[in-house]
Amino acid sequence: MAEMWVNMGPQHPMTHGLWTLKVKIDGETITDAIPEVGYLHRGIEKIMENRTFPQSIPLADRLCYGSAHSWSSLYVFTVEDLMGVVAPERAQYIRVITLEIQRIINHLLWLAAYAADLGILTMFLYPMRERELFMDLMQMISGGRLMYDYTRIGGVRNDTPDRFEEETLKQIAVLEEKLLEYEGMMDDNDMILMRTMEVGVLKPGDAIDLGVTGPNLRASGVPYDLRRHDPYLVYDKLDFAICVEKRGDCYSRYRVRMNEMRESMNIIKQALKDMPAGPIMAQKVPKTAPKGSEVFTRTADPRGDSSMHMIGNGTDKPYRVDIKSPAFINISAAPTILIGNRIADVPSIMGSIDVCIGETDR
Amino acid sequence: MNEHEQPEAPEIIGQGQPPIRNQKAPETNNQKQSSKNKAELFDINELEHKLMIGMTDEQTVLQMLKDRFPDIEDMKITLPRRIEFKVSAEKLIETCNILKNEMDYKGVSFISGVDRRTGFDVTYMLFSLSHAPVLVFTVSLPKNDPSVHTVCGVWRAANWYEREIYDMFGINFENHPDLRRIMLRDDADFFPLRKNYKLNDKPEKWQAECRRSE
Repeated sequence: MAEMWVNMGPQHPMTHGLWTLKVKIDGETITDAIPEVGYLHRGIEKIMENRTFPQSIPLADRLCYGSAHSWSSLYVFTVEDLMGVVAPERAQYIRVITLEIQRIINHLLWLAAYAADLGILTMFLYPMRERELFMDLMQMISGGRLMYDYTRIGGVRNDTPDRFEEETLKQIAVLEEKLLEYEGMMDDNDMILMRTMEVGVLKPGDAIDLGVTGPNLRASGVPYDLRRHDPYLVYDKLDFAICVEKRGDCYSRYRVRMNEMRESMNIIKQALKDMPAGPIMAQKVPKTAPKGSEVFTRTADPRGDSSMHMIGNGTDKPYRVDIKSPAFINISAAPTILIGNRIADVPSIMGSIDVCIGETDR
Repeated sequence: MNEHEQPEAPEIIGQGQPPIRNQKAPETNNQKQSSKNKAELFDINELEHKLMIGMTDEQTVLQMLKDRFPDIEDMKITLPRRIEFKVSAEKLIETCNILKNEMDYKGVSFISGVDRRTGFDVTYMLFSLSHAPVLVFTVSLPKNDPSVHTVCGVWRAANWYEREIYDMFGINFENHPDLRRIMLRDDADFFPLRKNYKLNDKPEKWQAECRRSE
């Protein structure tokens, strides 16, 4: 049969943002694929070089609409490493709680979008409804629903409000119950199983060689989690499991994220219990970074391992900021995952990778 | 014989047969095949064991690196779990191959470029599943015609990182399989993250386009 190229995107329901996937098909089988990104390039790295350190915190929020808080946190951690500032312990616990709430928000958004990709529109509405509960929590603590602008260099902006702990525990109890409902709708659904089981298999060796990280790597059977293996904040004091699945297909990626939400709730409960009283901002925060300082910081973003490389030159602006997004490198691995699958499975496979174009193009 | 009749009946899938999944597509070239086979040489049980038992700490890894690369002098631990050193551009591929195959640094965390005004730096950050520290090593390049050999042959993850550095800094990666612009348009003739490019420095032809669309 004749081979031909099919353009999926930039306007396509599969893409979840502006990017193009060119697939070469032979009949229905994909023989090659070329992803193209760059439609949303805003030059955030260049803008950050021209702003003072605190001015870039809201800008870092704008890297991703799904997990804004994890990006501004990564930016703040990098600046803190650069300046040698250590946040007080209470602030670190608050950061852990908000980051895990952010992870749940991101995974619920992913679950809703993925279910809609696969054709169950009911499952689009239910996780979105529970996501609202966690967005309410973030609104309670920071005032924002999508863009929080909550972390500060040396701590967090404000302490937890009254009733935050009991509200959080209440919402967690709701989600714990609802997760069982989601699993009932997804795992007992023959159509979901047909479209996800054994589809888009990524082998562990390929995953590591291609730089795939986060839930997608753990779904391939590699139990590597930065919160455990390169710990930051107070993650080394908390007890949590690394969610790992063996098969490496779309269904494994879905299972990893469902289990991660459970572990996140587990972490939030522990952090709320262990959180000490005390200040939430460091005593002294310098305005400038020392000359010749250079740091590399990594965190476990909901989509994978995000890293930032920052250089200070003695002024109040960074000399260079380099943002590395996990979604960027996960998209670049698309050809290896797609080749050999059917063209009808492309939405299922690319949806399971969890793509965010805001942070990919920067 | 009817002209429109198919000479061979196409393979019918889905009529009483289970759908065939993960059918291997024919390999397009030999290079792809060899890299795939290399990536599959990977014992998952051994790996899980290593990750659960605990990873090698930075002091041990630093000693291993010093023993293996006696000619690299300024190798040091900067922060917990960070080892930094410098590599010359000529020895880059050799060093990378040793780090991957002998030291078990199987993954690239990122590759980043820096315009130092006197020249360019390309920084590589590697992570391993059996050693706790990440390795950060830098290759310094001259200001005029910066060029370095690609490491795509060592880690496939390097492909897009190197394309991005080419796009932003104009650093040429020799033997790169697909060195095109990734973020900017193909007709861009400038490199935005170089220090001589100022914000709002939009080229003339693009300004005209912006005015037209208004």
